[in-house]
Amino acid sequence: MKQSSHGGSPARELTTWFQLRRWLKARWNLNLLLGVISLTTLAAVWELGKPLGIPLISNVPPPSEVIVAAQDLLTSEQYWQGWYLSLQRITIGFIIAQIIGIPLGLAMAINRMTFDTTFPVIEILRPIPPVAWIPISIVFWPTREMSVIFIVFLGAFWIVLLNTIGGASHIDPSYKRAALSLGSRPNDLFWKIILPATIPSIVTGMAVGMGISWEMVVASEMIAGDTGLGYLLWLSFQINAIGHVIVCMISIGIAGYCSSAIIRAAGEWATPWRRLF
Amino acid sequence: MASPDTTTALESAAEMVSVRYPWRIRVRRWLRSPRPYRAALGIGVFFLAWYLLIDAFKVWRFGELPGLVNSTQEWLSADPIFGVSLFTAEYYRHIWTSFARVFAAFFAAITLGVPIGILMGWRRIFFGLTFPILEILRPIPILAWIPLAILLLPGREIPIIGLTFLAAFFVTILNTLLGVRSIDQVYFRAAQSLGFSQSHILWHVIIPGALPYIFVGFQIGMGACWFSLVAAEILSGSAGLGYKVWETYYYVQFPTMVITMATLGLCGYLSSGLVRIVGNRLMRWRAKLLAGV
Repeated sequence: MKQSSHGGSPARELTTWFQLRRWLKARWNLNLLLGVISLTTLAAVWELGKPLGIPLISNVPPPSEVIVAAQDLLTSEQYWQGWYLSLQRITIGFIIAQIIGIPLGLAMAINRMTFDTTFPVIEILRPIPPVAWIPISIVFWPTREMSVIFIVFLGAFWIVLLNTIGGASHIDPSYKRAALSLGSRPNDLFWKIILPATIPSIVTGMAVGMGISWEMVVASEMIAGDTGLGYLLWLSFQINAIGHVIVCMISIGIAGYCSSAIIRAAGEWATPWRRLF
Repeated sequence: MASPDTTTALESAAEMVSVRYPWRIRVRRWLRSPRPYRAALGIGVFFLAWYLLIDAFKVWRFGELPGLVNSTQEWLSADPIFGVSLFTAEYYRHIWTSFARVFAAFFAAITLGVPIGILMGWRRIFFGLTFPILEILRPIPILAWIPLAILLLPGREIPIIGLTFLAAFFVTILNTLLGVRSIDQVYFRAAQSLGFSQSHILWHVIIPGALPYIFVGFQIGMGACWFSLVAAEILSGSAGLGYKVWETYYYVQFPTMVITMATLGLCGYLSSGLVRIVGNRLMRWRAKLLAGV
């Protein structure tokens, strides 16, 4: 038994081939290979769109020009200033949305009266797309900065609120009954059962809300801003620097992706009991 | 985008199961419960706050905003000051333009998105080829595509529809993919051992199994459509509700701005409701399944 596992088998040449095939067949590696193939094809089509005269794609600068534009943009101060300002707006608006949204959601889930009175109002306001609030928030808030932050807040607020309500109102009632029969007071019920059980859906709401926040910061900077990554994107478009537009798009994509990833990581850290699954 | 709403399909199905009484009994029960009165209280407080903060006392910056009385009068007036009310043709022209764009984009997104999503969930090679592209494009906010859409697509109308399409497209693909992945592998094996052909597997295993997720995707996608439609119309439109919101801001016609915002909310609500109703109709079997019939 032991000898055979030491690899004294006659079909030695075949094993390397099998190993290679197994390596290729292992799902992750196959996906990696396919991913490389598809992304290279995409880049090639994009690069060759102009010389080959493919319609639509030939209107966009190829990757080589985008790289040149990136070198240009990454060294400019305006670009990093844009990052800083957009991130600042996101952070402030997003945190305010959590500060208001999470307690309100928990209150609505716990107290029937709060839910019954507040929910209809939310149902009236929520279907209005946040972008449609941009003009009215410019009118209302004294500075542009505040109106951008308000729009970011609005984008994250609804989804966090709804997720908090959803999470807190779908707790298995037998947990509450068990706690009550073991002598818990309402206070314990909230801190030991309702809050921990709601954290996962709060985190989901926050991660999705972060995505919407980035949408909103881009929209409001494009429409109403005079600084930030979204404004830089729109400005580059207006001065017809399409390479810069693409660099801005990629930057915003990276920023949004990283912020959501950070929130998900923080959520996993905050809910250690879920790591097993 | 999918995860928080994944339960909604289940919930709505469960709701259908529990509500089996004729509507008259349901209405009577509802009226006897405290809920409608509390709702009326909440909505009343909201409108009262609007009236007091803006119309009556003009507290702080609220004085700048359009008042409740003004906006309502404008909306119901046969001869509105700023030219848009329930009785003017222009109002319905903007509604129609926006609706037509949203529905064109939405149907394009679902006719393309569902097959792609199913293939991605079903065929490993296809998944490996397309998923990286999707993952690279998806984090870019839809609104950041506006310049490229204007540049790539011809005319003024097609870029707006294209952006609206993009918003629903990613959501539909992702939710369909999740839906196909959520199907228990046992069903596939059972179907294969019973000699199902590929098309049978598609129609009798994959589509019914993924349908709840697909419809959740449709609902989120419909919301996303309205959302990006407004932004696209503000930045490059010449008609439609989103354009009107911006135009009324530009020409300081604030009561009309509120009317347009309310109309946008209503349109979004109605179209999501439509998707939900169609979904519930198509998934009646699921309600029975959940009820244990």
